[in-house]
Amino acid sequence: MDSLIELKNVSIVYRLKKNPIRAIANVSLAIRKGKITALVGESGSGKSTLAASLLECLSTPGEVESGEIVYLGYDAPADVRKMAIGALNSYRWKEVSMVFQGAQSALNPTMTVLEQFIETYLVHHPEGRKKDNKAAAKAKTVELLDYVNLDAARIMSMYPHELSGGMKQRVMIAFSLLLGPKLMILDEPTTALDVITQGYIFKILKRINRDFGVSMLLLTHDIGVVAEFADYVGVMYGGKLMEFGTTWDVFKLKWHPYSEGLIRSTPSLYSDVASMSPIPGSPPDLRALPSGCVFHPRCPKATARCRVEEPADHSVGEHLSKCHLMEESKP
Amino acid sequence: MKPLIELKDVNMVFSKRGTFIREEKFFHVLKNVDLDIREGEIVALIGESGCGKTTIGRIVTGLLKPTSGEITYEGKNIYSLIKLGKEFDDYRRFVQFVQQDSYAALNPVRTIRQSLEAPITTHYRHLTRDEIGEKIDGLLDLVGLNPPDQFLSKYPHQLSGGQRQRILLARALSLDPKLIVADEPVSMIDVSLRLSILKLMSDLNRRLKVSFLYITHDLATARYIADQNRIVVMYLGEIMEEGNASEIIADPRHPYTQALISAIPIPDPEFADLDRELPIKSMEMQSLEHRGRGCPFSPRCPYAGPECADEIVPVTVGERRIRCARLAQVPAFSTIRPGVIRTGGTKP
Repeated sequence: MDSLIELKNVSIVYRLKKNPIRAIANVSLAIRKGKITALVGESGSGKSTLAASLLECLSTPGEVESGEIVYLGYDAPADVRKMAIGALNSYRWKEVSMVFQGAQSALNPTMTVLEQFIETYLVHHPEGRKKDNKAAAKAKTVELLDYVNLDAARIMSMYPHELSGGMKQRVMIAFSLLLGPKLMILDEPTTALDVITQGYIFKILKRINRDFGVSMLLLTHDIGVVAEFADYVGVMYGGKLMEFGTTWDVFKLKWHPYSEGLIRSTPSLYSDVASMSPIPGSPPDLRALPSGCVFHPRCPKATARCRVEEPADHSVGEHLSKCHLMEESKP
Repeated sequence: MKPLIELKDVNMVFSKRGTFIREEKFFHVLKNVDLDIREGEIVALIGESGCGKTTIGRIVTGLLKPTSGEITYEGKNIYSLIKLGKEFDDYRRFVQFVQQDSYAALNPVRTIRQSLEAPITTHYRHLTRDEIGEKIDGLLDLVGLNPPDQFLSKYPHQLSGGQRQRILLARALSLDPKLIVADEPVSMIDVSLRLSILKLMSDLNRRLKVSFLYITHDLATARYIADQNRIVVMYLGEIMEEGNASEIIADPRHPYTQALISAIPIPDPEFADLDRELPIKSMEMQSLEHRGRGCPFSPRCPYAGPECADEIVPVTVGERRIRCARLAQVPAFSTIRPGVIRTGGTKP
C-alpha cells in the first residue's frame, strides 16, 4: 500500500521550565494514500500533537526532538521539518489541510464565508490577474458549498454567527477542500454536534474520500465513529502508538489489551450490557510515565516483565502491536 | 412505586431583548412537559443540545421556577411549600444536583474535606466533629475513593476528572438524598473511565435506593445506566417518547427516536454501514422562537401529514407514551434498520 506521509521514529517534546514533557515518544506511522486513517486515544494521549507536527505547527514550547516526517505527495520525498518557510506555506492547506474541532473559532467572525474563501485562494494563487483569480475562487466556492449540500447562493454572503453548528462544520469542510489537498486532517470534527448531524457530516466526508481520493487522518475518541468510518486505526496511549492495523483487525483480533479495554469500555446500543466494563485506574501523567510498558498499571494481563521492559513493536503484515504478549502468541 | 417528583404540564418561556433592536423575543423552551420520577428509579433524559433537558434538571432541583405548570415533591406543590420553611428545606435537602463540569463545581481554594464538610455541618447540626469525620470517610468509601485520607487534604486541581466527579457524588450523597439529578456527569471524563462512574451511579441506586435523573445526549450511556428503567426522549422542549429503556432502544416508535437511534454508530466494523439512509427529511433543526402549535419535529419528519400542525395528544401503548399524531403511518423500526438489533443482557 502506498503511503502519503511517513513518520519515522518521531519524538515530540514540550520543553517546560521544570521538566520537559514527552508528548510523543518514538512513533512510526504511515498514512495510506486514498484511505481513511483514524487515531484514537484519550485526552493527553498525543494525537493532536502528532497531527500538528504533520503541518509543522506545534504550539510553543513544543518541538520535534528527533525523527523524520516525510511527505510523499510531491515528485520527490520531502521532509516537512526541513522545508523552507516558502515551501512550507505552499505545503500547508494546499497539500495537507485541517478541519478543526471548534468550527466557530476556526472561521473569522468578521468576514463572510465567501471573503474567507477568496482570501485563502488569492494567497495561494499570486500569479495572474487578481480579477480572474477572484472569479475562479468564487466559482470554486459555489461548487464546494454545493458539494457539502449547502445552499451556496445564500450561505456565501453570511457571517459565521449566522450559521448553525452543523452548517459551520460543513463550511469548514468545504474550506479545507478549497485548494484540492491530498490529505485532510480531521480533529474531532463532530464533538460539539448532535448525533444526527454527526452521521450526516461523516457521510459527506466519506463521499469526499471516494469522489476525490483525498486521504484522511481522523483524530477521535469515539470508537463507534472509527468502526464505521475508518479503513485503518492507530491506538495511542501515553504518547505511544500501541496498536495499528486495519479497522477490522484491530476490532476483531484484539491483540493489544488497551485497544480491547477501550472497545469494551465504550457503551454501545447493541452489545450485551454485561460485556461492557471500564478500564481500571486512570490515564498516565505524562510528567511521570510508568516504567516499562506505559499501560502496565492498568493492564489486566500485565506480568513482571511489563513493569521493567518496554515492549517492542511486533507486526504481522500491516498489523502492529506494542505488547509483550505478541511475542509468545504470534499468530 | 410512589412518585417522588412530578412535573405536570410544565411550560418554560425565556425572553431576550436584543442589543440593537429593543424588541423582546420569546423562546418557548419547554412545552407541556409531564414527567414523574418514582422512588428508587433511574430515569434517563435524552436530547440534543438546546432541547431543554438541562432546564428540566434545574426545574426539578428548584433552581428555576417554571412559567406555568405544577411541580410536586411527594405530592406537595413545592412552590406552596416555601411558606412552610421546614418542608421546603427538606425538599432542597432530598433533591441534590451533580453538575457536568466537576472542576467548576468545587471551590478551588478549599480542600476536599472542607467542601464535603460544609453541607453536613449546615444540615446536621447535632453531629460532633468526630461523627462528621466518620461520615465523610464513609462517603468516600462509598464512591470508591480509598483510602479517604489520601484525598481529604487535597485541592480540586490535584484530582483527576473522574475522582472529582466521585467527590461531587459523595457531596450529593452526604445529605442522604432521595433523588440525585445528574446533568451530563460523564461527558467531560476520559472515555475509559466513563463506564466506572456510570457503574457507581447504578450501584448507589441499587444499594441506597436513591433515585437518579440522568440527563444526557448519549443514548448508549443511558442504556447502560437505565437498562431496566425508563428513558425519556426530548426534542425541542417536548417529550417525544417515554418508556422502558431496552424496549425503546430495540423498537423505537416515534420518528424522531427512530432517526436518533439509526444515527448512532455501532462500534463494531461487522455492522458498520455508513451508506444507510437516515429516516429524516431535513438536517436543519427548527428555532425555538418560531414554534407552532404542532409537532416540532414535523418539518424534518418523513411521515408528517396535515394533522401534525395541530396540538398533539400523547398516545399511551402499555408503558410507552408517544407524542405522535401519525403513529399508524410510521413503519416498524425493524424495517428501517434491520439485522443489527440485539437486546437483552443484564448488568454484572
